[in-house]
Amino acid sequence: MTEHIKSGVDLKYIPAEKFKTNTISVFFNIPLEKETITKAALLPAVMKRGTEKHRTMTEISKYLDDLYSATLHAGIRVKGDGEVLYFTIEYIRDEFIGESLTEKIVELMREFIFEPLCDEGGFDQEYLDGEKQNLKNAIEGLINDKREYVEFKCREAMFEGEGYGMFEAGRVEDLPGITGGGLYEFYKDVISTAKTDIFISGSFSDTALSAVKSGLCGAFAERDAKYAATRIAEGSGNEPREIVEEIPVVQSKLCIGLKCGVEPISKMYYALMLGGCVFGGSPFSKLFNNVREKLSLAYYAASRTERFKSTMFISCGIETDKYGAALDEIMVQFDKMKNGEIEDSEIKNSKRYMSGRFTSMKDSLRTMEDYYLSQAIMGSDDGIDELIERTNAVTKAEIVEAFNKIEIDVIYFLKGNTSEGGAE
Amino acid sequence: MRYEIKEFASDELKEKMLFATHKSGLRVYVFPKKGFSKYYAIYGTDYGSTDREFLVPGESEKTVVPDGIAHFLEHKMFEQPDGSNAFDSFAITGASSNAFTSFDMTAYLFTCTDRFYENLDILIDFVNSPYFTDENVNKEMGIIGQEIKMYDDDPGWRVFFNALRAMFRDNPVKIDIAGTVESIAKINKDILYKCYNTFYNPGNMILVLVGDVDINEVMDRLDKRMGDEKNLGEIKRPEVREPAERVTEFAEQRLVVSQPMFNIGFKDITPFTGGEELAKREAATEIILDTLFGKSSDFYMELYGEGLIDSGFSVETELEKRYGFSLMGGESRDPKAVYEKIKKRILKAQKEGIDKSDIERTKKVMKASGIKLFNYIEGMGNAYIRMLLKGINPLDYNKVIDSVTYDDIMARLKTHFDTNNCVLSTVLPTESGGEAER
Repeated sequence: MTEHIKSGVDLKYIPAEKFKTNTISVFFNIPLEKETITKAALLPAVMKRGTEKHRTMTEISKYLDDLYSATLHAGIRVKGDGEVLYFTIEYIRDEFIGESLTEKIVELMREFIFEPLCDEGGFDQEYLDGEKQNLKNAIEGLINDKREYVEFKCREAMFEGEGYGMFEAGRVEDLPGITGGGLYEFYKDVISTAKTDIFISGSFSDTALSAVKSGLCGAFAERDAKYAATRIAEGSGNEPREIVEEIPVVQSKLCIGLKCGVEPISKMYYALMLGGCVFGGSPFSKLFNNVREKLSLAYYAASRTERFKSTMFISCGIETDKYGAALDEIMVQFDKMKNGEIEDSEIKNSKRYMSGRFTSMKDSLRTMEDYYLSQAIMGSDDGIDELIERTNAVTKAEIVEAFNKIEIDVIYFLKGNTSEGGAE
Repeated sequence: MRYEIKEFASDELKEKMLFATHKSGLRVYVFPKKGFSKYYAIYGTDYGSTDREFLVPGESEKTVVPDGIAHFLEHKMFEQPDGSNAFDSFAITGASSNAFTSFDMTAYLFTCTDRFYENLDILIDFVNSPYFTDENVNKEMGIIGQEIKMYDDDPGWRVFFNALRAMFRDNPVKIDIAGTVESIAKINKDILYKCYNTFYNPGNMILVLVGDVDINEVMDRLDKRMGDEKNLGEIKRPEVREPAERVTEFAEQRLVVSQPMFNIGFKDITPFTGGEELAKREAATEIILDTLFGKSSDFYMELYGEGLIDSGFSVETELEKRYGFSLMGGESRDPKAVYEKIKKRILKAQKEGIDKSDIERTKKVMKASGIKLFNYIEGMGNAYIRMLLKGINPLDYNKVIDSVTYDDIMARLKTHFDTNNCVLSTVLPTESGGEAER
């Protein structure tokens, strides 16, 4: 349930009795843009380093330990052309430890958000420098996971110049220019102007609820703020671009990026999502059964759709000389989707599979939070049960229609050029 | 048939565990979770990548099998005699299924939110009915070959196995779980059947179920599918003779990475046992690792502040019946410096002891983690099946943590964390650097 606290600030409560823990989270929604992407990635990391009261990581960590190992997570998540900066604290419920932690957690959350450790010039210089280095390592570390790397390179090629085409951890070249003062300005801007959602999930007594309202919700100023809007990806009618990058690895990796052009809360979205499951989203999908099981070309061969931006990525790891064979087979299967060569059983099984996945979301506080946050950003009131209903109502004709809107945009081949791992 | 159901309960956690042994010899554990949508079933055999030599019950000569066979077998189990695979069956009942092979266990699992008992039937049936042909064995070579190659490029996996190879000379834990392209080429259907018939007998297996499950219904279902004829009794596995000394102190490999990765390893040389003794030893080791190197430690703060480690730095211990080690790992611009500082910190603790309030705080954190685990249906199943195979009662683990004394911790610190016998494995960026050009 949602309570409108003040302009631009909402409180959402997800009641659940079955968990041992509660979570309290704060989400700030901002546009995903070149000018701010690096600062946004840096900010939660710096804020986590120390507050006026708990000045060092050790002090914070020991305090969290004392609160029966409460955990603090802070970072960013991409939501289409927007991103959220999130702060979440999870802690054990009263009844399992014999004391109530909610008030202390509320106070700690308030401290993290409103009282980060600063000096006259803005954020603490030592913390800033340390986190800039860590972020630099994280950005450069993208290459360490080759599957993630190729999927990003494909997305980058598809959305050059847009926030969505950038690595969400930001850009190394921005780091030298970020000062303690500059980041502090950005921070002030985010906490006072960004669309803000406060989530509490689990079991809250009336006392606990009012502690959240007075201690946390009350601390936010009202603002004239909206969620960052997303422009969905649509095909341009051009031929797909093939990009080849050579790299000294054993296994080559193929990623195909597609633009789907389907609005995230339209009826067609559910057809796209369900069709995605039939195509490459399960261990009984067309890609799994053909690229992997029938032709033994790959260990993983899968597709995933991204709802906000309406993109699809097909990904597999293959022998370098099997590039043509894998691409051909993927195209054969893709054409089958477009031509309606889909068995009723494939649709039925995918519906069951997705229903199970959606129902399972109810077993995780953090997954539910993320789901309801995304719904709010998209402007939908659908709960998980409605999501299941809409999925189950999809017809084959709708899947075919949705797949015929999809356009292949980029074929990215990360070409391995070594036969064995580096020298030991 | 009526079975005796044993119940273990924890009043403060409001959780319980039910246990029964099926007539086939299969041990069945149920963790009832009311209110959750999901069910989780995990069906495991006490058989993993380290079982390369064994004595088949009734035979006098030991059998030696190709590396990677347990994992290969895991892949092949999904194949059904009618040409379909188990994924197809689960697709009809809406479950999500998978399997994994580790050093000492192979497990088959599913999650579902509906039709649990039907799904359980499918799980039991497909794991109990092997179907290997020359053709389907050959087909798998390509798929597993790609899986092996994926891991060859995975720096985190390489740095881990290089650390194991630096620590262990003879213990098969040092062998890659999936084997190599060469070793799996030696696998054929006959060897697969031999391994299957030996290790996939119910007396060597365990079934762990989490969710709103009725154990009596489970036992009835099992009665219809499993008799007592397949229980072969004990499988003898040769004792691993592993020298106390490390093989080499340093291991190094170059791969396409952005900055060096490292694993620092301490091998376990105390004789392995199961049950409470092993649990206690594990708890003591975790307390040491967390107090000395955890996020609340001075060590962590100092190295993080110096930029020698980042939030990816982690410590862990894996103590099993047939092998054991502790690892500290992460990324660093200077792994050698981290290595020296870790050794220094251990030597200081061995000489001066560990702060008792730190130990108490760590115990509180470990117990809290145990409580939080009950939020996660799959997490429970995965953690508990390992504990149960080792003879540890998951509901007793908080008591085990409490029972660890300061003297236990100091004794463990001296025997396990030998700074003259540890290893440093690193994966370094290739000469050309991490940045690949288009």
